[in-house]
Amino acid sequence: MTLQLLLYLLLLCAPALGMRASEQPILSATSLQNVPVSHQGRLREFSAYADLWLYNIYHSTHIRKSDRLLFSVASSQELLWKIQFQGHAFLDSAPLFWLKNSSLKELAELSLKPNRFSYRELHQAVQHPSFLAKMIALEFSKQFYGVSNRSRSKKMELKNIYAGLWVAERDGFLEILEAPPKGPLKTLVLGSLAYKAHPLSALEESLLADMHSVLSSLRSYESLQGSYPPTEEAFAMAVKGWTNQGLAPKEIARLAEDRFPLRERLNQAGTILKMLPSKRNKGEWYALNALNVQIFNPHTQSLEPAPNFSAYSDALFRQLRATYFSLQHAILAKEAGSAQVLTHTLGELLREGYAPLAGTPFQQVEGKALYYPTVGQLKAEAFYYKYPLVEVSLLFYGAALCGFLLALRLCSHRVEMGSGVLLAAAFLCHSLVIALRCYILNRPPVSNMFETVIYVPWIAVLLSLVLRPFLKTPLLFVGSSTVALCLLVVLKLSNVNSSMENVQAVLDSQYWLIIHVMMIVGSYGVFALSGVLAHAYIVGFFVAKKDSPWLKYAGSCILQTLYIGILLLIPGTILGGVWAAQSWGRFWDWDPKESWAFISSCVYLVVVHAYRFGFVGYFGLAVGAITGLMSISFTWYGVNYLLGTGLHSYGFGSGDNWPYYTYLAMECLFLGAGGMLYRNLFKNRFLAKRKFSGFNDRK
Amino acid sequence: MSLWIKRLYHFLGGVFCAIMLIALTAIFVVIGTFVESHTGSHQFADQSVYGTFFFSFLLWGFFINILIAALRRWPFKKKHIPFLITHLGLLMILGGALVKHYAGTQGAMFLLEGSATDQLMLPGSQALRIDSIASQAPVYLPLPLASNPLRMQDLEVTTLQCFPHCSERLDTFIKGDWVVINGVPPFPIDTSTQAAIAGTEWTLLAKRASSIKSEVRSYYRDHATLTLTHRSSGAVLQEIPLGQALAGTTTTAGTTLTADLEMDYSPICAISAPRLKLLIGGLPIDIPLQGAQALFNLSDSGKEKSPFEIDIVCKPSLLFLQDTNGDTTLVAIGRFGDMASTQLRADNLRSLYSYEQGFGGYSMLATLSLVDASRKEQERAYFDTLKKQLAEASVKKEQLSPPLQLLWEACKQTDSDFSHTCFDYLYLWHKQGGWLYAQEQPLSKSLCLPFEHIDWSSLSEKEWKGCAWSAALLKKLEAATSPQELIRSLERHEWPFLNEIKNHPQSGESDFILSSFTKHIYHAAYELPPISPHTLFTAEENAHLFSSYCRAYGIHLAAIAPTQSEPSQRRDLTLECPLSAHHKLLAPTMKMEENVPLLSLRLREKGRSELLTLAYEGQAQGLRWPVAEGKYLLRYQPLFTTLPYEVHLRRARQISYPQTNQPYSYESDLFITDKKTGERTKATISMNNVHETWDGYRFYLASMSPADESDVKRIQLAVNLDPAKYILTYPGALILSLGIVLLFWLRPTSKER
Repeated sequence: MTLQLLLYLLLLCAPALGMRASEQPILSATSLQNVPVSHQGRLREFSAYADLWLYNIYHSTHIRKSDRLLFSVASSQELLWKIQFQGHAFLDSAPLFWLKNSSLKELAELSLKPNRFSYRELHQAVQHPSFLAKMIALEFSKQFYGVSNRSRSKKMELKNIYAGLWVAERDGFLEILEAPPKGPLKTLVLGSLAYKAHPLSALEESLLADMHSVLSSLRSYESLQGSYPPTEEAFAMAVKGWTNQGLAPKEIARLAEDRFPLRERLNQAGTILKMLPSKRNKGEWYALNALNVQIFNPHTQSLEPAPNFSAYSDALFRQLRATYFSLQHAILAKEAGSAQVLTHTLGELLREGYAPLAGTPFQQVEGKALYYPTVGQLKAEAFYYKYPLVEVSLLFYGAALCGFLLALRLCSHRVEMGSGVLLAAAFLCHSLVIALRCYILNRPPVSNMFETVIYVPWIAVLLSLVLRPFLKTPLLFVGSSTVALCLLVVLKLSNVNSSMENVQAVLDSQYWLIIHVMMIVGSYGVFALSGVLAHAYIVGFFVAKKDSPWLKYAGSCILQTLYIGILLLIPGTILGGVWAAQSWGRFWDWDPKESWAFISSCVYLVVVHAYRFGFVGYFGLAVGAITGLMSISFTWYGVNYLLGTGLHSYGFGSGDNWPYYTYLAMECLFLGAGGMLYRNLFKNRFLAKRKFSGFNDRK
Repeated sequence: MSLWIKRLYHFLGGVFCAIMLIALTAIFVVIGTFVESHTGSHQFADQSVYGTFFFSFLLWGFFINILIAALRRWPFKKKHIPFLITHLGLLMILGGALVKHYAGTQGAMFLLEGSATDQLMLPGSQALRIDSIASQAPVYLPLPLASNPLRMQDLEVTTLQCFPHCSERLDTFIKGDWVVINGVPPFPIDTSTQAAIAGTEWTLLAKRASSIKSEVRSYYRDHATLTLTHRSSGAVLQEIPLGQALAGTTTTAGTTLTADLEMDYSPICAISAPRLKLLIGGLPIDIPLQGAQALFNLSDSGKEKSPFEIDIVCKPSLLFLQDTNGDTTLVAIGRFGDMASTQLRADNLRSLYSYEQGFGGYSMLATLSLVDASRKEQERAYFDTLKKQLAEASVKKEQLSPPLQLLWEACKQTDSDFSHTCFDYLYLWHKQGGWLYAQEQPLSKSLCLPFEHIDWSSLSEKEWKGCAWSAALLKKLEAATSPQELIRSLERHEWPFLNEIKNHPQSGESDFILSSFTKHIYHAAYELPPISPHTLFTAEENAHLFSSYCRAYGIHLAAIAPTQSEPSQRRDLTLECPLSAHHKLLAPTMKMEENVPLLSLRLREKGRSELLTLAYEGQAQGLRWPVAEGKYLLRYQPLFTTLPYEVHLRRARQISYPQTNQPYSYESDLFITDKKTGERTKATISMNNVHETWDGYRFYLASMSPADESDVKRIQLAVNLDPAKYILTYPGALILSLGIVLLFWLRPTSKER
């Protein structure tokens, strides 16, 4: 097992090793370590940012081996650093953009097989008339049916495609009334489209979303023009013009601030590598490009670099800028050696500047505040992205499961101990993932789909470890490691967004997240464990010999886990009502999520009542646990992805639902088969029992 | 008999009944969630599942089952404690829900920043709001009415019918098949009529059209006439109906004439930039029909002038054109053939007028601005403005460009008025046409004097050479009549920068060729041989040279056009129409939140009776309609109750995560005044952060719009009063949780069976 792990790690390291030899990169691995970069409202460590940036476009944090030649760099960090200074031109024919939607590819006449396309290909493709027409039709339909009846307008400007694009509905069909003659829509012909406005299906919704994301990523890609901000050129030209007109220097300075406000130019200096905190506006970070921003000095009557706009000290800022300028020169002159040294110095200066800011609040509102991450948090984030912790724990869980199954088969205590060690290792790794996320994000790890999918198996394993001393069967571990393995594999296959982002405003209540969400989601883990044990029980019931102690243990495991699950689910749901009363102003309103929590509670209550009053035995309990698990899975996944309505909308998504349907169908088949077998086995006893129970349960 | 009662008692309190109840409820809720997902409507699910009799029957069933189950265990023993605790908790929660339902309040409140209210809306309820002109406070009549008909003061209200869903549109000028304008008798669509509006006789025409543009074009074609006047003599040569001119090339007064009418149409700006494009004897003339230079004869070329001037005559007309979307385009055509138009979008009326806060009804105003003077008068006014502008600009010499500075100096020497001189010269040059001022043309006396005193020696060597050479060279080129010929003659003279001109996209225009030629000469002036020294010229020769100097700086009459037109030359035509609501019945949708019910009413007051239909205003925001000759205002809307508190929204804000659009927090600052004691509390509420008054009213921030700073923020507060919350619901939840623990683990864990 360890050998396999080693091989796996070696595989991961291999690309990095292989690359070193071929080209001398400007950026060494440590030079920008622990430097914070502002991205989507959060500060991230540089390497984590680079990985995330690449992942957002390329859908992988590592450049694939086959693409490496076209990219001409080895890692996301080097790529980003190269783009920063050289712009995007060198990447134009590299397959950078990940695009999976096959109907989109078909519309844009792209080849269907590859999932990654170059800028050149996509830039051409999105101007394809059939692509544009479909996009316009979908966008119109979405906006048309997205608003309530009353404010529906049959003429709309589709601003989020392009300002000035007017579309109307006439006789059911859509018609383009006006389109800007310039820009990307120049291929568009005014007049009727062959599309009708219609409510969008989930598939079309995702197609439209993909279209928008392609367009926006192309636009942001086009803005990567190198280290000199494009607004500066216009600014310098304007100043030159004013000087030539013979305007007074003070007048020029006034005009400059009026037409080209410094703050705006700083903000628009660049879209990547926002590494310089603003002096005046807390929380605002400027791109490195902002170092090239100039101002007009009326005294010397010339352009000069803008004075210190960062929250760092003047001396540090001067040093920073000098280093950056020399770095620009070195890269232009292709002096890789000195560029590497200068990059290193730049990183040191940025770290030095950030140190006093770390851990301080920068945005305070009623009852909460946002803090700059501490250096420790930055390090943790880099660590988190660097090592594939989830994959490692997945491997350990797999190994542990094999071990436990073997132990059950051989009845060997030694093997069980060994597997226990593996499970412990997996659990530690798993806990580390959760702990790191908690530490980095300063919040309980249950505020998005990724985090809950990580959290649920963790609870299952934790519970099995806690219950082990009371219920003396290795079956618990088999169950918990199966739960962990299944869910983590599903997580890996499903491409759920794993990046660490800001939490939605409505969820931003530490107190209730901990109490309500952790309880409810925790109960999912417990029920998952009981569900897996129930499968084992039913299989064992027919396979193993009658009344073996093994079955009895399994039965009591199921019972205990059900008890614990109910204890978490019902009070958790009621507490959710209390939170709803705090946040939405009503205690209970039959919202789908609430309703399904209620339904799941009902299922388990029926099972427990039936068991406690002797209607069913362990076998019925097992069947109930599986039914309950189906209901829980619907509460968790189905409400978010299949129903898609209600107030708990922050978790909603869409996607291929066939794996879920398959799961439901398999469970039904399993239960059906189990029921049939049971009936055949105990036909007579079954009937007798029903007669006996009657209405008299008062014992 | 008693046996049966006993059996029933045991059944109702038995576990089998409990299981059945739980399972049935669960199945019901499952159906409810799927119904909600399918229809997308929570209200629909509420009404068809959760609000049905059977569902409440199930809930009451729980209540009874738990109660009897507890009673059956009488007398209680120690082992019953966990059971009793658990089920007591459940009973408390159920009881809490019942108390909230019958004694609590749940409503919404809408507030704009700076506003205050004590009115609480009960969403989903239906009522008639009646405002009386005599009293301040509105009266709410809950629907269905307590009695039908219902008397309220001297008004008798009868509800006739209620329809589940309709669409409402505010009709402006075109109402059904009639056109309604205040002060003019209504006239039917598709017919034309005459009416005097604001002292002018207008022809009015209303139509339904799929293409507004072609409709306007064909009307204009049929009703406008062109008048050709000789430029120099002012004699009217001929009148041609526009239709004839548009049909194809016609020969008039010895020259050929072709015409084309162009205009742009957009659903937002209606008709814009209408213009008549004429070609007379090969010379293009552009007549804009809208804007600052409306009706002017503009020619593309500064080089040549057509010998004719063209005016348009038309009957003043007003067109009301309704497109397929029900939007109305208003087009006015003035007596001199100019056009003005405006668009009234049914779904987006920009403004409306209400008389006496609605008691006097509502109306819609459309303003159309037309030119009220002939082309000649207009031109005169236009040039007056130009003259005024020149006079204003010439106060300081430094503000003028070099050629005008030169003239300014000459005027100063001869004590003549600069702005007059300059304008007269430019006007003369403009009238004469031609790229440069022809020196054969004699100057008037007032112009002669300053032009004789132009001091060319103040020019730098380069400028003088450029000026003199371009005058000399352009004279030769001016003989060419077409751009092709110009290029050919430049080729003949082996002009070195010819390629630059030829490769330019505008190389087909004479003006462009000449202006770039002039520019080249000025740039290359150093290289040119010296030309005759600054000796004395005649005034006309100076005028000629001066025009060449002006061309280098792009100065000619058209180029220094005034930026604003004179308002006195325009006349605003204001049309008013009463606003009315147009309702169309629609099939109700499954999404009940989006349905707009329609109510028809009969109102009787002092023997007069009238009918009214009203569409439901879910947020109580729409217009209130007057009845009984403006004594009452009615609106069909949710019910309102009065809170013992007045809420004043001071400020609301949305705070985003830095540099993103993702919201981080929503906050509102409120003043909450207790109306009994007058005590005022300041409170800031945000998401997950409510304000609760001492007597249990809670205020929640439910929503906020708009997200950006484009408008004043409007918030929705959810307000509720739940008297049983702290007595029943929350303690019940606690007791239930405790009970579950006891129930599961107080007994031995492995119960052997």
